[in-house]
Amino acid sequence: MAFLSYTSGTTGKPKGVVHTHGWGYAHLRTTAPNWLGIEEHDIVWATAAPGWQKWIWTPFLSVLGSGAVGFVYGGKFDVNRYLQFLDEYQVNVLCCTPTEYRFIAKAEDLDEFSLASLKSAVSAGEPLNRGIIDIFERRFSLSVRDGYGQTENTLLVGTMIGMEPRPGSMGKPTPGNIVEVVNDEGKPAGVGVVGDIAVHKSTPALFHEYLNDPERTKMQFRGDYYITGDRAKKDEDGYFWFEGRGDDIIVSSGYTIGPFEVEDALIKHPAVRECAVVASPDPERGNVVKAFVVLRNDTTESTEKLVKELQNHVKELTAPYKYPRKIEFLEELPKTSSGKIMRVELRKKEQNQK
Amino acid sequence: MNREELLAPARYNIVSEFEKYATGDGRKALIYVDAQNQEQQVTYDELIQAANRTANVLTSTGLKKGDVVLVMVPRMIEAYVTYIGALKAGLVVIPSSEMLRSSETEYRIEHSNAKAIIAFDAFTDQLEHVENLDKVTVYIIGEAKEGEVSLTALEKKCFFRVYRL
Repeated sequence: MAFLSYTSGTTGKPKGVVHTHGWGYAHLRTTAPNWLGIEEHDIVWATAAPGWQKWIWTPFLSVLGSGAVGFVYGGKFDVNRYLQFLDEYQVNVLCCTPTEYRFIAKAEDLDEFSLASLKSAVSAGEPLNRGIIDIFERRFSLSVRDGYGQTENTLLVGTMIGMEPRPGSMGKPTPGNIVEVVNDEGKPAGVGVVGDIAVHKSTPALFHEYLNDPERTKMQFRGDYYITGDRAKKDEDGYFWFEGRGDDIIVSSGYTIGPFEVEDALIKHPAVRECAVVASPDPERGNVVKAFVVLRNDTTESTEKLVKELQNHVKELTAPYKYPRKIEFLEELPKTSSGKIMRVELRKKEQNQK
Repeated sequence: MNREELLAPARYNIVSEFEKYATGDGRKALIYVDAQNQEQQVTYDELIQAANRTANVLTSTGLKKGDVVLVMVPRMIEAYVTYIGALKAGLVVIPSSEMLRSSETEYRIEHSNAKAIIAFDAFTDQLEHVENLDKVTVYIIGEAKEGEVSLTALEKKCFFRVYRL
């Protein structure tokens, strides 16, 4: 055993994820060259903090295990300072959270920076919105590549270096890892069929067990696969398309709606800084789509007009039935201490209002 | 790349991946900038030497291979040194945020049967309220209070030897 990383599930006590030194061997080899794109001597800035598994993944194992130079900033997040560091220290590889990318993309002084040394930029923790990726593409000709993984494993699916990116897709499985979309019987699902993202139990970068908890370890497996709890479908070329956390999927009037697509559309609107979309109970439709929105500037005037505008904006970008029938403005979104948006909190809030 | 290429040798310590670059040629490992814009740099050689000292102190003060430790060091060079030292000594690391509440720390100590906590002196307030703290040795990077062990002080005294994997 090398690491015992506690992960807070949505229910129950935290689980102790057991990883061996051999896990690190596999993680380093699949992730550092193929996804992060780290080469020897590169200056790499990965903003994760010690205490989280993502710090083990990138600033610790992937940077020092590649003979690169880790840039470490001990201060608080500040958009302009971040941009200054990227230029001043000629950072080659950047790994930060979707929240940080969102703030950077909407920075007032973005045009003053060149990010000329940056050759690779990746994002993980939760899906990064298409609109944000577009801003980096347009402004810096930089393709911010998304990646998906969990404390229990490694980076499982992502847009690798040199892979043709498919806008809105999660990318493909990381090399050497057997990742599939499986059905309720624990067998690979067909092309275009939504199922659970799952990892074959023989995959070297999969965890050993939950410490002292054979019951919950067992519950996480179906057939030969470890079940992540996240849902996706695969296209004919093997690209994964995220559908949401099992619990985050919204069923409204019989339609299945992934919250991410709606959030993706909303964040493309210039007034929106951040948003989260959840199911809100509705007597007629079962649920309706509700969006919690943090605005970029405090514009308290005429919210009614803005609600209409945002709704129309989403209808133009997605199938119209997905538009948020309810919109509430918040000063900030509830987040975990590692910065992930807690949709579960917002969902509970909605259910309790019934 | 296939699955077989991701299978580690039977005897393997992840620290060997970093030691590859500590060859005495002064290769840069980390650039640290603090909140006041003060910059500090370390090489792979320095990092591994410091981690060796940490590993020596941890094992010579009673920790054994397989023992579980909570590492509660914030974003600073010492975090890297502590993790490498602990892993090199064969300890199992619980990555722990310095923001952990006392109840969360209590749960981790109890559930994992941890033997030690390694923390940074500026972030030990939460530890005072940890009820089962008597079950662990508390190592402090910096100045130790009563009942704690200063890792920094012991490392200064520690006779230097290379800690072999």
